[in-house]
Amino acid sequence: MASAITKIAELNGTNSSSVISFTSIPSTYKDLMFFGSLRNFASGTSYSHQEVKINFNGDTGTNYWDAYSYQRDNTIRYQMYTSSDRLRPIVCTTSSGSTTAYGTFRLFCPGYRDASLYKRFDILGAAHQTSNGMQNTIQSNSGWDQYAAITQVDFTNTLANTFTTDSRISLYGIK
Amino acid sequence: MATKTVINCATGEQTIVELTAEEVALIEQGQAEAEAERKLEEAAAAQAAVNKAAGQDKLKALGLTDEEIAALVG
Repeated sequence: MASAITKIAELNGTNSSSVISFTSIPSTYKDLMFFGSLRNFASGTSYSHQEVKINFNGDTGTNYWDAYSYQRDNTIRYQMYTSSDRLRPIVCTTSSGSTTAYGTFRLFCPGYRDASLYKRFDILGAAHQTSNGMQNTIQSNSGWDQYAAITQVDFTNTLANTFTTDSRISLYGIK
Repeated sequence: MATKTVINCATGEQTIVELTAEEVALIEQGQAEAEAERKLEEAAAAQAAVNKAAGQDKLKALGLTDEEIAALVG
């Protein structure tokens, strides 16, 4: 039996890269799955973790939404973003300070090549918040309200920080 | 100079390119928005904590025990 899950590509940060981009994603799979482990290279930021935004096919229009619940400070909370210019439920932990842990995420993209459907995503993100020692966990139902097949996915460090060389995002195709 | 690391999934070719002025502007815009959203979120969380404490105090004033309040509001 042929393998049902195939590694398509893998990228590391470069210490100067604010964006990690997967282009020309083949349409030979049914679903896509991204796995990431991310740290910020830049220090000096006042934030202990940064949002990593996700865009598809270079689209920065207000076609995105997130409905997510998250845990912080021993409390479960929820957040809804509509008409957004990105997906956002991924965080990236700083490499400076007392904590050098990774922020991690998993992004499931079902039906990514189907040009007759809006795109929906299942996202799980986790990071350590160094300012108070708390852990953040985010689980999200997210959407990109466009029909186009996904051929490009960009991960951008929103606070203009850069990904460390040991940051890595892997892309798998699922038949 | 911040860069973009790109992999062409069809060929496996990796390239590193400098961000365009437009891309830098978008990141800076995202930075401002993220900061504003974070402040709003933290303010809302702080207010919710204040409201919760005030509500618990009122319940206690009505004679409920801490265990009874915890059973009601967690």
